[in-house]
Amino acid sequence: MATEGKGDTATTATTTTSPTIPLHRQELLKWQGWGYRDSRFFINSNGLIEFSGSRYLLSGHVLPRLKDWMFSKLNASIDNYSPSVQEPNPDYIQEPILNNSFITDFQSTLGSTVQYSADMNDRLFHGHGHTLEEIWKLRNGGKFERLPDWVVWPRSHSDVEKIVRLAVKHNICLIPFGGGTSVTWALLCPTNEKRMIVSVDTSQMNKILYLDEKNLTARIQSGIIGQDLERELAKKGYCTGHEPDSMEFSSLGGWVATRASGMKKNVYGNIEDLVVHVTMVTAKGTIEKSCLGPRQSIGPDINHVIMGSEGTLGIVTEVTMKIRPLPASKKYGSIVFPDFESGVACLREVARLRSAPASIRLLDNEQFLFGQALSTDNKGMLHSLVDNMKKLYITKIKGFDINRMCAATLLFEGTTNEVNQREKFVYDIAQKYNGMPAGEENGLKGYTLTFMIAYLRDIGLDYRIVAESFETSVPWDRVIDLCRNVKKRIITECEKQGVKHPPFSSCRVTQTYDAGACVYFYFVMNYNDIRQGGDPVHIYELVEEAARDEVLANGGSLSHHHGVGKIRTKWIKQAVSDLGVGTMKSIKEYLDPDNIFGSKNLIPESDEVNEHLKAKL
Amino acid sequence: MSVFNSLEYDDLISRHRQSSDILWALKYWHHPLFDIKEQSIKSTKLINKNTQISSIITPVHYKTLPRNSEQIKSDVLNSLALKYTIETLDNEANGYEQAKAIIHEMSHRLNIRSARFLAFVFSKIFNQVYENIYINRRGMDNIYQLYSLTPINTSPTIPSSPITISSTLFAILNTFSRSSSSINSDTNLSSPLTTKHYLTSPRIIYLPTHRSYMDFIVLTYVCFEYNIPMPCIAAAQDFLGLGLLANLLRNCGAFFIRRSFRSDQLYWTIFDEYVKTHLVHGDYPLEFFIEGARSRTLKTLLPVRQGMLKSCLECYFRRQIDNLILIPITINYEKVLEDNLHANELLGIPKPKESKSGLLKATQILKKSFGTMNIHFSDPIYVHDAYESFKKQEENKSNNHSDTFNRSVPRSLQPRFICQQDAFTVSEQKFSDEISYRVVNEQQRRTVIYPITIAAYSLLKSPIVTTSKDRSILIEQLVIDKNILFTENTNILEHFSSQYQISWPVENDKIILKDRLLSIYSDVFEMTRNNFLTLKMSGDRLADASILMKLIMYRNTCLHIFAKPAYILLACQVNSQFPISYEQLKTYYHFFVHLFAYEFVYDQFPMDNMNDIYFDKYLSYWITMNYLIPSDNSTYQINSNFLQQISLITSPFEQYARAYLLIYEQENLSSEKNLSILIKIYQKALLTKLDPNNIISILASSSNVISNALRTLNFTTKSKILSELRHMLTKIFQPKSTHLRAKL
Repeated sequence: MATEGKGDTATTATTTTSPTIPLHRQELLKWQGWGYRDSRFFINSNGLIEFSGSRYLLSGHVLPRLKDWMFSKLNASIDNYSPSVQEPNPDYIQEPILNNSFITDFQSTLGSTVQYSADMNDRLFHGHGHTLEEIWKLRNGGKFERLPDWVVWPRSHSDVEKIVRLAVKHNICLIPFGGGTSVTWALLCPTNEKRMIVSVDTSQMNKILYLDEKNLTARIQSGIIGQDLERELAKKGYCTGHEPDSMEFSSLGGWVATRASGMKKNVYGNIEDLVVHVTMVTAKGTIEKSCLGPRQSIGPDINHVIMGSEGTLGIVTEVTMKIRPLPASKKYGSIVFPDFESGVACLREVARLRSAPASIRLLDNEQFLFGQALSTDNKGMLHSLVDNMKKLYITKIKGFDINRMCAATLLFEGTTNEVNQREKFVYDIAQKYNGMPAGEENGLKGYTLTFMIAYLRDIGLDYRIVAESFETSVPWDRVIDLCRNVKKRIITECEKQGVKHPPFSSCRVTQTYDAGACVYFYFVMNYNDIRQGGDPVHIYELVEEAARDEVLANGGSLSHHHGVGKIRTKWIKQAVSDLGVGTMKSIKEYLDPDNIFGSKNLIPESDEVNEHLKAKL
Repeated sequence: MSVFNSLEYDDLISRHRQSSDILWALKYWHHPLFDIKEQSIKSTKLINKNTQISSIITPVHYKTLPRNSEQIKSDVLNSLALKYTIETLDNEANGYEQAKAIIHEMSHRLNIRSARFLAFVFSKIFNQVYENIYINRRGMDNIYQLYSLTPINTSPTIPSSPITISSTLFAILNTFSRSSSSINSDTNLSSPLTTKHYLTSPRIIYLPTHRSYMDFIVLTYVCFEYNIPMPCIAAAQDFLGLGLLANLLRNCGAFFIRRSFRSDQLYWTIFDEYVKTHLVHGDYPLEFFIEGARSRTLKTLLPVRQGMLKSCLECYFRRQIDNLILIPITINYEKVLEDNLHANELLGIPKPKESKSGLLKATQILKKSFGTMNIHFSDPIYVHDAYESFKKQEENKSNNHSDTFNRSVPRSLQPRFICQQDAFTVSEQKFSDEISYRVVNEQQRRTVIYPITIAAYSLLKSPIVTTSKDRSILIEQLVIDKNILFTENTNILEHFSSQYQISWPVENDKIILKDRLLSIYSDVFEMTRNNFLTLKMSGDRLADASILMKLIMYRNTCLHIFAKPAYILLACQVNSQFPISYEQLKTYYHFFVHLFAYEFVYDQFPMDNMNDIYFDKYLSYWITMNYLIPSDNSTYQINSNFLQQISLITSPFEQYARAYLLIYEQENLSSEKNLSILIKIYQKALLTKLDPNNIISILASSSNVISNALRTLNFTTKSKILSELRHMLTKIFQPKSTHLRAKL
C-alpha cells in the first residue's frame, strides 16, 4: 500500500535550511511517546534512573534521587512494569477511505511536485497528538477509530492552494498538521467523517523566505519548527524570542493556529504580538491583509480570525514575524520563598511595576521538592556539605518550612547593563516578600528541566503512572485561591474515584501579565490498586474534567495557550457565550461552507456528537 | 431506660462523674491544625513583614493562624469590601469610626482560658442536672476525620487517676507552659492526608437546633471535651443585656448581631466580612442556628437565617474556599431548661428581658433534674458535592435557553471584594433555599422521642379537658398509645423520618416510666389513685393554660413525623359518613399541606400546584394497615374498627386545623400591615376568650400558631383568599365547629 510520490528537490527558497525533522517523522521521533527516539529515561543496570542519548544537558546523566521519589511519593514499584508495545499493530490501523477521482487528479497535477504517502506509519503518526489518552492508546496497541487516509507534504504556498482547490473539487476533508504536539485532541480525526481525510503536513514548508533587517521582520513559511527557526536566525544575529516549551518540535503555523505563548513573552511578546502579517489558504481562496503597517484600525482584525482558528478555517502558509537582534547578555536566576503565597505576592508586585524579566516562573512546594529529586549525580562531600549548610540556614535561621517553601526561576535577557539592573531590581522586590536569591545554577537547571518534563511521562507510564498537565489564565486576585482549590479538587476527586495512592498535584505560575497570570497544573497518579474494573484513563479523564470545572468556577480561563481542540469544546459556550459561538460558526460557514477543514475543533457541533466522540475515544 | 448504647453513643456525664472537673478543665488542649508554638521569633518577623506590605493578594501567612479576635477585627476593618462600602456611602470621615464601633460591639473574644472556665462551671452544672449527655460517636468520628485526626475508638484521655497534688500541678503546667509540644509533625507527615492538610483546613459550619439557651454553651463544651476547635457562635444582640454573662459568652466565641439590618449597608458589610473572614482563613469553625430563633414551641421552625447562610455560601461560590462543610446537629432535651418561660411567652405573657436577676432565679433550676440530653451530629454535608448534583438536576430539569438579553453576571466576572446583597444568581439562590431545607430536615430526622411526648399525645387526644377524667391517664394507656403511634406504624415513619429514636423503658417497665415522668415533670404531673397520672391543674386560668401549653410543646416534637400521612386520615375521618373519592382525598391532602406550610416543616416548602409524590405511598400504607377501606370505584372509607387509633393519630392535626379556623373566624381586626403587631392584636382578642380547658382555644391563643396561620394567609394570597380558606375549613369541620362556637 506504500504509494509514495517523488518530491521535486529543487527549492526556490532564499535561505536553505537543514530541517531537524525528517519527512517520515517516525524515523527520528518516537511513535508512541514524546520526543527523539534516542532520548528517554530508563532504569540502568545500577537500578537508577538515567537519561539516554546526547541531545540534552541531562543526556547520559544519572538522576539518583528520582527513583526514590517516584517510589516513595507515588508508591510506584519496580514490579509494576508495563512497557509499551514495540511496533504499531497493522490490525489496529483502519483501512483507508480513498477517493479515487481525487487521487487521480492529484497524481496528474501535483504528483510530481508534492510528496504524499498512504503508509500505515505515516498515517498513524498524523492521526494523534500528545494527550494522555492518545499516548495510552498507542502504547497499548489500541485502535484509532479514524486515521488520516493520506498524508501530503506541500512545499510552498502555491502547493497548498492547489491541494485545497482539489480538495474542494472532490470534497475531501483536510486536517493541517504542523509539529504534531497538540494536547487538545485537535489532530484526532472525527470518527464520523465519511470522506477521505488528508493530513496536510507543513514540515516541508520550512524556509525563511527573507529577512527584512530595516523593519526587523522576517517572512517565514509556516512549517518551520521552533528550534530550526531560532538556529537559522541566530546565524544572522537575530531571534524571534518565541520559545514555547514545545519549541523543539512545534511549528510556526501551529503557534498561529492555536495562539501560542512563549516563555519569554515578557520581552518579546506572545504570538499575537509577534505576528505582523499572516497568510492563510481557505476553502474559498487565500485570505490576508494587504499592508505591513504595524497597527491598523480597519475593523475587527482579520489576523485574529486566523489566529486561534485551530485548523478549522484553512492552512496558514506564510507569516511575517518580528525579529530582534540576539541579546547581548542572558542570565539565569532563582529565588526561594517561604511559601507559595509570598511567591505569588512577589510576582504580582513584579508585574505591577512592569519589571518582569524575560521569564519568571514560580513553582509550588510540591514541584520545588520534585525539582530536588531531579538533581544529577551525587556530588562530592564538600558540595553536599555546602548544600546542607544552605539548607540549615534557610530552615533554621530564616525560618522557612521545607514543606511550605517554593522557588521562582528567572531568565534575564538584554544588554548587559539592562540585565544587571533588572536583576537587582527583581531581587530587591523579592526581598520584601521574604524571598532569597538562590543562585544562577538553580535557575538554569529549572529551565533545562522544562524540556525533560514531557519525557518523564513516558517512564511514568512504564511503571503504571499516568500524568498530564493543563493550563489556565486567571486574574491576580484569584491566583492563590485557584491554585489551592484546583490542587485540592484533584486530590479529592481521585479519592472519590477510588484511587488508592495519593496523587501528585502541583502547579506553577508560568507567566505574569498586568491583570493576571498563567498557571500550569501537573497531575500525576499511580493507578495501581484502583477500584475493581476501573479504567485508569477514564478515571483520569473524570479527574481532569472535575479539575477543569474547578478552574472555571474559580474564574480561570478555558485555556491560556493550549487551545480548545476537541477536548474542551463542551465548555466553549460557557466561555464565550452562545453568541460568541454563533459568531465563530458564521465565520466558519462563510469561509468553509462544505466543511473541507473538517477537524471539528473549537466549535461544538451538537451535544450528541460530542458524547459520541468521547465514547469512541 | 437507655436506648443509647455505649457503642453508638458516648456518655459525657458518666465519664465526668468518674473524674475531676478541675483537672478536666485544665487538661491539655490544642488546635489540631495550627501550632501556636510554631510562631518562633524568626517566623513572627516574617509575618510582620508580610502584613506591612499591603498587597492586593492579602498574603495571609499560615503562621498567623489562628488569629486572635483583635487580628480578626483589624482584618475586617482593613478589608477592601469595607473600604469600598464606606467610599460609596460617601461618609468617609465617620464611616471608619462607625465601623469600629460596630465591630467592637459584634466581635467575639474566643480564648481558651474562658473556655476552660466555662467548661469547669458547666461540668458542675451538667453533672448536677443531667442524668446523661449522649453524643453519637459516628458524628464525632466524622469531625475527627475532617481534622485529619485519628478517630476516637477509645475515648479522649481524661485523667481518671485519683487527684494528687503532683498530677494537678502537672496539668496546670501543661496548660500554661509554652514549651511542651505535643504535636508531632513528623508522624503527621507520613499520613497520605498530609498533602491536603497543608493545602487547607476544613471549613466547618455547625448548625444545631435551637430550643434552649443551653444550646449556646453545649457545643463549645463538647468541642472542648473532644479537643476540636471551638466554634464562633452567631448570637442575637438581645443577649448583650446579660452583662457579665454576655462577656463570658463573648469570650467563649459568641458574636452578637442585630436582628435586622438589611437596609444598613455599612452594618451588612461588616457582618458579611466578619463571617467570611472566619471561613476564608479557616481558623475557626462557625456555629449558627438556621431556624433563626429559639423555637418556643419545640417544633422545628422554617429555616430563616438566610443572611448568615448566604454569606457562608458566597465564600464557596466565589471560591475563596474550596468547599464548605455543613454539620446539622440535633440537640434533644428530655426537659427543656426554660419550658415554663416558653409556654408563658406563647400565651403572650412577655418574656423577661435577658437580665442578671433573671439568671439568679434561674439558679433554682439547678436543683431539678432535666433528664437526658442527646446531641446528634449528622453526617457532614459537603456543599461542593451538593451544589454539583444540584446543578446536574437543574440541567436535566429544563432545557432552558438562556435569555441573551437578560444575563445574570457569572461569578467569574463579579468583583470579589465588593459586598453585594444581591449577587446571588437564580440558581445559587435556589440552591441556598434547598440546602437550608435539607439541613432542617436532617435535624428533624434525628429527633429523639421521650416518654413525655407520648404522654402529651395521649392526654391531649380529646380537645377538652374539663373533667378530671380527661385530666388523667392510666400508665397502661401510655404503653398502648406508644404502640399505636410508634410500634405499629414503624413502616410509614421510617419513610419520613427513618432515624428517630425512642427513649423508652426496657420492656415497657411501667414503674420506671411513672417515676421518670413524675420526677422530671413534677410541675406538670401528680400521681392520683393508683397508676393514674394526673395534670396538676390549679384552677388559675393562665397557669392551667400554661401547663397544657407545655404538654402541647412536648407533643410538638414528634408531629412532623405524622403530619403528611395523618392528613389523609384526617380528611377521611371528618367525612366518615361517606366514602371519599381519590381526587377529593388528594385535594384535601394538598389543602392541609398548604394550610400548615408554616406550621410543620416538610422536605420542601409547598409550592402552588404541587403534586406531592408521597401521597400515594401514604394512602396505600393506610390501606395495608386496614385503617382505610377502599371500595371499587376508587373511593375510600374509614375502618370503624380502628377509629380509636385513627383519632389518636389525627387528634393534634384536627386541633391545629380548628385553631386555625378559630383564628380565621376573627372578624377583621385591623388593617395593620406589620405582622408582629397584627399577631399581638389577634392574640389579645383571642386571649380574652381563652378557655383554659380547651386545647383548641389555647392553641389559637398561641402567638406562634397565630403567626403561622396569618403567614399562610399571606403566602396563599395569590391562589386562595381568607374567605376560601375559612370556607374550606368550615366545610370540613362544619357540624362540630358551629357547636364549638355556640359553646364559646
